[in-house]
Amino acid sequence: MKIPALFKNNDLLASAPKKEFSSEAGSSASHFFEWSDHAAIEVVFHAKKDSTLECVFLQNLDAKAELPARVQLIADRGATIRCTIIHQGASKSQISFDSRCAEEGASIQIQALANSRLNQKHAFIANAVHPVPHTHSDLKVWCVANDEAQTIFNGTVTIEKGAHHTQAFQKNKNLILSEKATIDSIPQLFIFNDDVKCAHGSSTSTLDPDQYIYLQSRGIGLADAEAMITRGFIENAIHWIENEATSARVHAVLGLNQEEAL
Amino acid sequence: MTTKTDAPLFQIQDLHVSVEGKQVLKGVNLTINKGEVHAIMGRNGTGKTTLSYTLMGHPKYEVTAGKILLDGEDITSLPPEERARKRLFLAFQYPVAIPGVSVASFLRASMKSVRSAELQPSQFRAVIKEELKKLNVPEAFMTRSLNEGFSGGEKKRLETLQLRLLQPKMAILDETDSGLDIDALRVVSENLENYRSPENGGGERGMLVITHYQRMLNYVKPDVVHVFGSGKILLTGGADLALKLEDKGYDWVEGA
Repeated sequence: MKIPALFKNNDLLASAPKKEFSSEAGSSASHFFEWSDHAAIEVVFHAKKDSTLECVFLQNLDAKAELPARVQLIADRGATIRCTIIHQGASKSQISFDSRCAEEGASIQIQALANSRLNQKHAFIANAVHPVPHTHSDLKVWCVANDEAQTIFNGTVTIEKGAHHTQAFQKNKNLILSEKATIDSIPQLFIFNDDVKCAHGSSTSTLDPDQYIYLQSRGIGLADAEAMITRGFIENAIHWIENEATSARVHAVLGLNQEEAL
Repeated sequence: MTTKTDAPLFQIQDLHVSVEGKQVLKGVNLTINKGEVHAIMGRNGTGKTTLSYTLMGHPKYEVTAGKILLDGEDITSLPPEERARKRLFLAFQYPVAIPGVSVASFLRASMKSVRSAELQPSQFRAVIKEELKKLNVPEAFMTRSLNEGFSGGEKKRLETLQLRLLQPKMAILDETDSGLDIDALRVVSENLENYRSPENGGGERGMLVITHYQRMLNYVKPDVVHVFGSGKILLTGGADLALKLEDKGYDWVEGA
């Protein structure tokens, strides 16, 4: 199967600066990293033993930027990572993320979002590795493609030999808003072991006419209904961000007003 | 387009509707005056839901002949949002889920569209809180995604909540009693009956209740009952007609 990619990461990331964030053993931590420079970047989020790490990588680039980034996620024994990865802006941008449940009891959950428009090209190259037993990963990638934009998702889950009782899930959901937009999606599982629970899938849809009619019947016009449904799709990826300041910043960068509580 | 203030509240005149080239409604005539509740009963597959969607303006349903009038104004060609702003409301049989859109933001947007002339956005919160209490719905409900993962009862409570918030002058309830347990049926029905009561302004409103069962009509008492079959109204009677249908079924109604 031909794997689409926008960059050959090894060439462009070889000399990229590396930023590292971690949660100490037994602690809870939250890290937010926003990248806006015209240079490739590598970011490492590392949850140490029995810790919980909430992390957000926001690639917020101007319209001319063309560059790749790499995110590494490592969870040690009993640790949990909840990571949000977002493409915003750029002409051509690729984020590769490698998640590794390094020790037993590790769990990595990822929500990734590309909100692509005009002629933007956004790619996610995901690679989840389970080398040991009793680990868990859950990846959800949400892509919106409007105008003449292109989004790519190429994801693999690898469960290595001996990694019994692994649970690994991968889902790519796409919303296509224009006839000229394109979406490529390749979710793949490589399982070298019995006694695991895995699922993967990909779906691509346009806006649902039944959703339109429901909103219209409540007085909401077509343009507002489209904006509301699209925003709802995007919120699926970012609503779980617990840190309020980070959530506010992400919403602001994506041009979304934060919802008021009742 | 003219509005006649002395006209009946809601009129359906010789309505013919096709869906994907197949004629489903074959000449529906109905007049609902202010303060009246009409019930439509009938077998499955006779066109009742087609009627409700058509009245709300669903583009899938093509009106090939006839008219729909609200307060004497022909609304047949209006899009659904315009009908809603003129205070027509449809409680859906199967409300659709919109993941990621919170109930609160949806309600605020719809109230802003429909009621901005009479309520400031700053008043929405108090109005919503008050209505939530009446329906025994916790405030945490507001942060959930619209209809996503909702039970049948939760969906119908939300439809009823919307009716009470949007204050339509003409409401169509498409099998609002389906999917409700006994307690939920009582809460929803009492709220609907309360909505049409004269002391709450019900004398200026109308309601069209589409249902299979008498049980909801024990609470929301109809003034007129119609039997629907073969894409049109076959028989019209008083509230006792619903009891007769419950007892004898539809076979005795010719063509039902």
